[in-house]
Amino acid sequence: MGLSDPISEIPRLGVGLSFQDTLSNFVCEHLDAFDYLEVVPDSLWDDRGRGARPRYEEKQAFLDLLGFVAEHKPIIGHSIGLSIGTDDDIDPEHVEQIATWQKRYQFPWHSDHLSFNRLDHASGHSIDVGFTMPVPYDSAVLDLLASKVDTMQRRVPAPFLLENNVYYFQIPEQEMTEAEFLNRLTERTGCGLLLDLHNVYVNSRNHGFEPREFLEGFDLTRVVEMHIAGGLSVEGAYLDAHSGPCPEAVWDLLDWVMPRVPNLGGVTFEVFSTYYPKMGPERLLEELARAREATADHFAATAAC
Amino acid sequence: MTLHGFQQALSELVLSSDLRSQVADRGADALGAFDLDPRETRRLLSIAEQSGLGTGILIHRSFRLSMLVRSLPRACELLGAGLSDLVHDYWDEHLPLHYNFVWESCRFAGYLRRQLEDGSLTEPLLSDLLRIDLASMALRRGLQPEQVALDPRPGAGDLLEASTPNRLVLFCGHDPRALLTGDDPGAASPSRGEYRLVISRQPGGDLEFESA
Ligand SMILES: [Fe+2]
Repeated sequence: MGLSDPISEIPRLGVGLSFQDTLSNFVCEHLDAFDYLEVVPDSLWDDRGRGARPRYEEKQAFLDLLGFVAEHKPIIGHSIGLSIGTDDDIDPEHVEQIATWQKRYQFPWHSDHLSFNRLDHASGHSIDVGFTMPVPYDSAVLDLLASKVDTMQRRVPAPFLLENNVYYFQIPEQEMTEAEFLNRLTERTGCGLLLDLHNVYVNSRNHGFEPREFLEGFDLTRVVEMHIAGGLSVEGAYLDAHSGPCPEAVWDLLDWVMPRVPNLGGVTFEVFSTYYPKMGPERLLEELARAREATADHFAATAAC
Repeated sequence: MTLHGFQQALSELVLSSDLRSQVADRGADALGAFDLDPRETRRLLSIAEQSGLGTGILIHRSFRLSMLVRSLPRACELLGAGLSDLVHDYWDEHLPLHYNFVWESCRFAGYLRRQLEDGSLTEPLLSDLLRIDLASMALRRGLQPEQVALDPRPGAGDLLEASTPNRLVLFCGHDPRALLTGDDPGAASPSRGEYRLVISRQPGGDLEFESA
């Protein structure tokens, strides 16, 4: 990518917390426990749909909270609303709304998921299936995604990352492996990778592969951010439920991957709002402290550069 | 590649138990309505047989259900074990158009109100609890009564006084003190009558309930 590659100039922030509404008090009371706050912008506004004016109704209580946090910590956007894998045109209003938030909070980078959840239904309505469905790793899909990533990069002046997906069923006869597909996408567009280690762990458990071997296929120099989280088993499947502390296997994976991600800007811990009350602030503080310990060498070394 | 057709069919496999049973019975013929190439048809037939599709359906449903339970907690708690059948009937008739909590919750509340009107649902307290849940949602999110499917006209059935930004005065057909006490709103037997419930949003965001 050369000297001008923005990925190599990413700020090294440290350990972040993924914001959920039930974490509001924790965030205000424990600002020192994390180095940045990651927000899902789409969950902090109501999208009234294409054509509605105003289309996006932002929630004042969250704006107040983010205004307070932004005085102390960087804020990162991690969206769910792009549905970049859908075979349609990118939604320009959504992109502009993300650009508005990037400008307002100065996201040093921002991201979305490599998947699809929204599309026009046969009934003529636009539907949202509500979870990140996989796209086939084919060359035609790569062309589609590359063009949408280009649009994001042109409209939003901060590095854009895509997150590796968690999937519960497999699409057969794919033209590329997941690693090949993501390597080509990041090489072609210059976008970064949000490597969710819990997603890798979930997929490895449900589909029976060795996560380190899998990660060896990736160009890990494109990793700007990593996610860590916990999950649970339901009806024979292990779910990416963000339900509490990280499994030991995910900490082990983090230890293995840390020396291999020279452009890493942050590691974010994710817990869903409904599970946080059960987890409690003490346990969350322990997870954040452990993440800091696991990444301290990297951030100390890169800060010294 | 006909990716759009593939994505439509894949979404439909998640949403429609009808399509899943048709694919199980008739294989590729059941996918004839979608624009698919042969490889996409083979992919969908494989996915339909994978247990992971069931996991995807579970996640889809639990997310959709949690949205309703969070927004309409009292009404959902009253429905108890009956909620599961009701939401499945509702989902059969109503596609997940988007995940706007307010919009989806109002649509489900409207569905329940129609069931009460035509007599297919006979929960005496449900109408009051829906009104309280919808009003609470409006106050928490700073919305007007009509934005949460409440009739804004005083005396028209939902409100007794014109609304103000942080205060709604609701009509209740049962004693609100009994409706609002305890974890199980169905456990008490609130007296019938014409009652007034004032819900106000406090400066910190908490709601205060005052009944008369
Ligand atoms: Fe993630």
